[in-house]
Amino acid sequence: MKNDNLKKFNNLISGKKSSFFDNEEDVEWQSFSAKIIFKVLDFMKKSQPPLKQNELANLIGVSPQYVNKLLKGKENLTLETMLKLAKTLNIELYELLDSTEKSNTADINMAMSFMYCTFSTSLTSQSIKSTYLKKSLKPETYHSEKDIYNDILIYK
Amino acid sequence: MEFITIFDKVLYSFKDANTDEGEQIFDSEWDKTYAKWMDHTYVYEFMEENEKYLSSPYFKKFPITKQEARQQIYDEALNIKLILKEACLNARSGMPLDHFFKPLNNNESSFKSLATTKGKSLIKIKSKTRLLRVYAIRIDANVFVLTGGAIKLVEFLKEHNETYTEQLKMDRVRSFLNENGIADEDGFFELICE
Repeated sequence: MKNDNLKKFNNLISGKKSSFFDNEEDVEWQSFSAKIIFKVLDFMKKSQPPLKQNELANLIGVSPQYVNKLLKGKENLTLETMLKLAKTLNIELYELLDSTEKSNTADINMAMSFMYCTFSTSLTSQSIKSTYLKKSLKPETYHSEKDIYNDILIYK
Repeated sequence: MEFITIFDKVLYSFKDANTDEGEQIFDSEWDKTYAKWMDHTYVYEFMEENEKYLSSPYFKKFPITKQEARQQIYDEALNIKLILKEACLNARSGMPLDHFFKPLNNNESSFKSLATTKGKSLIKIKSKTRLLRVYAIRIDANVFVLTGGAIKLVEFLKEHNETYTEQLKMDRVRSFLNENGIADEDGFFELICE
């Protein structure tokens, strides 16, 4: 009966293929982005009156379509947008993350690494890069994105 | 109803008149389920509307907040995609997909033909209560049809519309397979008793 079932099922397969496995996921970055987007949704809901998507788009200077894609999980958060959100929402970058979670330091480290990569395109010295990335980054070390910029500038 | 390939020769899903929603077109029911889990707005609203379930006895042993739940849903979804791909690749080398899919009914330890099954993420989580379920019909040890999935906030599927809808979908697919000559074990036993 088993083989018979399989044969009959094979005859029912349409030949169409899903794109589900087509894209490789950057799991860590996506999880990190989701954490921020959920905070943004909280902020939008708690605002008085609640902030609409197009209003958020105006505030951070991007298109409403882009904001919609971000909130729908169809677009990954970029570092630039993350900084804009932090500034607009008037919250420090590290506050976008839950300070009670153990993974906090790892998340901050990852954010810092991304930031470093973004701002270090003109850097040629691998030793400076590795020194920076090896540096122990603790949430309390960075009080605002300004501190991060300054730190990057010092290394540059 | 048509069957769509998710992973060649191993994993399938289906599409029917209910799959597409307005302008939103989905490759299959599984793609639709996964798109919902990846949709931050959907998950956020879902947890806002269903927060009361988090204070039910189901979560008494391992409590979780709605903030933790929505992040966990996202992380579990990402993990499910990874382990499903791994399971499919392993299935091609002979390791049965049964390692990922378990009988839907906790009291059943072995699979029947056309068994309804469930799968969960394997991610390390704080709450210990996994919130996502993948539902599938087992055609063979290495061939499954994903019927969808749900955010499970209750013990029994009938206790919440989200999970009950999935139960109905599983029944619908099973009936369709039956109608097309694919016998389930119950049907087979009925046949030999006649």
